[in-house]
Amino acid sequence: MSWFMKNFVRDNAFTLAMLPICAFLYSLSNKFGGNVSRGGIGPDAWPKAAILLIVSVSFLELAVYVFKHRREVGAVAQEAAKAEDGEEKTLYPRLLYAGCLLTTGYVAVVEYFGFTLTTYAYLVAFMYIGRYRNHKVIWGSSLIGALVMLFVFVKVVYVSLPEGVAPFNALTWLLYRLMNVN
Amino acid sequence: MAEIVANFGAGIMNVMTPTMLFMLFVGLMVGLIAGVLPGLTLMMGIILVLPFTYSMDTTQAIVLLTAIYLAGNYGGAFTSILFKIPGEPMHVPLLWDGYSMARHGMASKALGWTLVASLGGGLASGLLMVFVSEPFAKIALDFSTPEYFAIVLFGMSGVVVLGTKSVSRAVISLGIGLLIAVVGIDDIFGAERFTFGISILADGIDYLTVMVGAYAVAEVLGRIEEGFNSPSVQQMGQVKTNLPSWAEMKAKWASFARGISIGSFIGAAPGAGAVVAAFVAYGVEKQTCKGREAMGSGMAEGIIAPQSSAVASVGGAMLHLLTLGIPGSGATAIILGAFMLHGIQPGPQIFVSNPDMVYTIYGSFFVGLLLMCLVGYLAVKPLVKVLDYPEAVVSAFVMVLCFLGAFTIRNSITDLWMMIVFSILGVLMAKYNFPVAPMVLGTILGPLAERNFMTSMISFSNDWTVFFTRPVSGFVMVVTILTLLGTVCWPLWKQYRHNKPAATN
Repeated sequence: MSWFMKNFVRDNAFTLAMLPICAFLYSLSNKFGGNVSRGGIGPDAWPKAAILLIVSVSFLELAVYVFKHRREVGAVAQEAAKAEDGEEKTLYPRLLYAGCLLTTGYVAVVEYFGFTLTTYAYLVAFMYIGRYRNHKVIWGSSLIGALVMLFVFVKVVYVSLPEGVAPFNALTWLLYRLMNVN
Repeated sequence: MAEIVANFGAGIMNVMTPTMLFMLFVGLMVGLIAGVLPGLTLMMGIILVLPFTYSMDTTQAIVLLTAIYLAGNYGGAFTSILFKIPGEPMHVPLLWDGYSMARHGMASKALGWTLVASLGGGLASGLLMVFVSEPFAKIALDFSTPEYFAIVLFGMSGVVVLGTKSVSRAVISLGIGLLIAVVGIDDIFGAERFTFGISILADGIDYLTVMVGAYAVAEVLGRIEEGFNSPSVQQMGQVKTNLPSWAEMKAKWASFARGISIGSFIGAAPGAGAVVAAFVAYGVEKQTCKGREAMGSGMAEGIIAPQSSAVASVGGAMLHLLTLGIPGSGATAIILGAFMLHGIQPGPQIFVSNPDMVYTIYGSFFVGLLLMCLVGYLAVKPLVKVLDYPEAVVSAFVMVLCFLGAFTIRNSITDLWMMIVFSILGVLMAKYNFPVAPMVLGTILGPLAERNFMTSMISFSNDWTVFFTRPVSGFVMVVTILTLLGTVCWPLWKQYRHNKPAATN
């Protein structure tokens, strides 16, 4: 793959990904039912308009990219791109992946372990992932935070939070009894 | 007029109860802290408090959220001026003159100008809101679906044109929002759209889920990728607010007038918000004020214009939220969500059906403004000390409150999964420099636009010219088209002018 193509795909991955998604959604919108009068516009009109808007502007965006970068080659273009980006920040992609994984994990297990236990574990883990290392603050604030949030949302806001499945729900019920929640 | 004054007086009295004052105070503190902390945006502050409002009375809930919205426009100014850390993007213009004043040893004076600008901007836009909204609501009662469609379209074009660097990326982002908004059973034809057989999707995707995911969670994930490297406050010394004298303020009346007018106008235009208002006001000030050559080196005008404009935009945004039921910014969208969660649809009818509530909200705006300035005057030092809290700890709690915010909308874990999807989408969009705001606005305004468009088409026998032949909708449509054309053509014209001398040579 040429240098230009590599950069083209890398810089426009989001726009390029939109095109097949839009094609798929357009084909789906042809199958919408609904009571449409003869000659009138139906429930597919608005989504199709949005899809066509995205597709047409995406092509325009890609064309502008090609037009702007076609003369630039190799290092010159890379320098130009760097200059456009301005001051570079130090990034920690692994922290981002760990944060995403942890957050997804929270949603996956909260129904099994219950709100309190999962939230406590999540808070502790998130603070460590966030490179904070005061252990007393981490474990203490997470415990207090999880309990306070349980109390406020169940007792004050009347929200039914996930209790968990056996044997973890026993902890939730114990906390409910201590907080005098019926 | 007398009726408006009487209602407003009653509204102020309604606020003077311990519960309401407590709500106001809590809202102001949350707003100020959200404004101060760079990792916690004003929007996130409102989102985080939303689940707490479910069990509240509607008026109390709206007063609380409006107070956060108001104070969030002020809090970030402290850290911009004192430490060159803008708590909110709208406070970036304060870096240029506010921070310069602080560096010249006039930090307390800069804080004083900020306070006066916030008070002036808030009072003027609040008065506008009180005295214009009811007459405007009476006019809006005659609006039909073509007018509403035109106004919503104008709002969507506004966010695309004003709020972003790349118009094409903003349009794509808006399109994504419009597509998210069509998920579920269509309320005109009864057709299922993009539900993929998942039952909860038949009810559609709540825009609050999109906001929590794409704004709040994605923002925290973005911060974690940067390693939570917020600068800490090393040395603060003596921090106090030194108010300008009456004569000094009188000498700067034109800057106040410009900032307030721009803020009220931009706030009232659906789609724009405090950030755009602050930048535009600074730009105009730089072109027009006396001694403009010195702008950026510590001029009071460089504080007055953006700050009064940012706070004035709140009144403008609340005006069309209450009179038309159209939210123009992310913050007012969440406030609209709070209204709807309590079964109330803002719009012109609300002035007939629930005037007490409207005027209590107005009253709270004024009382809140005064309280905010009092807190700002007395407590700058403890407020900026908030910056010393470890960001990882604050962010961990923000994340859990986001989960609770998404979960409590329908008490469903599926909403949490959707929140995750939108947060990942938000992270990807930020990575590829796609603005998130148009997507969120598309999700909010999309259903309004579609419903009014489809109803107009059905009512007027598929005659699309109806949007141009009715006076109000025609005017708004023409303004929208001109705005969009201007956005596309103006850079081309500038490029042409730039290239012309080169070609001649």
